[in-house]
Amino acid sequence: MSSNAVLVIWNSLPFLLVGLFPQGQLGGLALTVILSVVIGIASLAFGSILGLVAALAPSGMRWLAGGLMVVIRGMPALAFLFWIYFLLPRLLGFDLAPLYSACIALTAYHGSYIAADIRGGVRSVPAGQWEAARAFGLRTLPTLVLIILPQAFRAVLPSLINRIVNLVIYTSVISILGVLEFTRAAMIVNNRELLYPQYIFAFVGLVYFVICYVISMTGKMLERRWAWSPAYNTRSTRSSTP
Amino acid sequence: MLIDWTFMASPRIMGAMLAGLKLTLIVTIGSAIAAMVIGTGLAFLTTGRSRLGRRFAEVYVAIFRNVPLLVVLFFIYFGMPDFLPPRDFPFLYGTSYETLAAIIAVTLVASAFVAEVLRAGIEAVPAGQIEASEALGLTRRRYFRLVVLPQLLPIVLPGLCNETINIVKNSTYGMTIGLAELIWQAQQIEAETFRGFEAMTAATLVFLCLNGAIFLAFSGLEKAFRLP
Repeated sequence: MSSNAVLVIWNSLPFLLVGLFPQGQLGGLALTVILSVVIGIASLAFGSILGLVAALAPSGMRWLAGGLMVVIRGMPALAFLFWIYFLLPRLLGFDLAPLYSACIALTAYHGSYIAADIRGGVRSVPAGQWEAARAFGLRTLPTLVLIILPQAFRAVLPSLINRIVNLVIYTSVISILGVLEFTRAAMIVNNRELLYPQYIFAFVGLVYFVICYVISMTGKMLERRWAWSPAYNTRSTRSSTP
Repeated sequence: MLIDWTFMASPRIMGAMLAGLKLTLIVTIGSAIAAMVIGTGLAFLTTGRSRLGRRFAEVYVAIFRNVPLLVVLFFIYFGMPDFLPPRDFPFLYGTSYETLAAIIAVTLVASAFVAEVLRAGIEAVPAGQIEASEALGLTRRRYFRLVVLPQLLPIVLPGLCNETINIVKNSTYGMTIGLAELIWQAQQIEAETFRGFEAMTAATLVFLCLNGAIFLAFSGLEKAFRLP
């Protein structure tokens, strides 16, 4: 029985890995990887900017950024995803493909978690560092880029790695909007076969596991390499959701 | 006009939100209790003396932290009938099967995260205190009850609050297997009336209130258990 399951997975492997690619749309694991990279980079950029605003901007903007972070992080990813999906057409006046609105929503969602980390990291750098930089005659921007951010980044590296792992595994949410990424492909294979659900989803889980485990291990290696930072004393435990 | 407030206050939405909230709460409370119990067991295994126990807990935590909840959910939902002995279980055809599958899947994932929070808390107690309590002749059980537990709660409560909120959020994935919780209800309204934005805004507001309430409850607990 299980050898039949292996056969089923083997036969659907091209579909699971690249979707309908040569004939049609790229999908499957390839799309999941592309989505992870795109959303990862976008949410790191958005999160860093939002986090810096929340940590350093004048109080009005700081409150606004902080409030935005609290509200977004209070929503389930799925609710936020659908909400953006229904909101964007009203704002833009035309329908946006689920793939793009999902990218925008997940970028804002993970970005606001990353922003919370960055804000914490910037605050964890001792005030003496700002004062010392000023004493050396550095302006605000060079101080931030050369002195504060490198330390803040190292301080939050463990939680950033956890966040990125979360980001990768929760790209699976996009499958609910009907985008043919890895989880969606597995659902379709499962619906077609209806015989070996546990093997199919165990295989899919294993693939996600390997990807995320490699990311975690890379992160641990970076942490060890950068462990000398003075602000490096935060010990993080990742939380489970997007 | 961006949003139709009168529709949001209509009995159709209110009724659906109440019905959805009921299932969301059932899944949340069921998973939260089960995850706390299993997570505590796992945390004791990781910090315990049994090598096999440590290994098991490590593997469990590594698996469920690195696999999407959606995949775990489908694995449980579609795979459970094959794991049970081949007998007739009426609950497999009942309407509450989705609820059960959602509770099991959310519990499996949440317990791994709860275990990590508790492990970090137990390990935060300085080693000198273990030695001191051994010198005083405390048994391991009394050491946990009298020394670790009072220090543990203030450390782990913020993490547990986070995880409880995450359980609420994760319960939404039940919609993919047909669990009629808040998001599912909102989707249903969208399918009937094409007013997805209003319905989803209502569901989002309910979630924000629910998570806000959990946050306030845990803040109260943190105040109550704060070390003198």
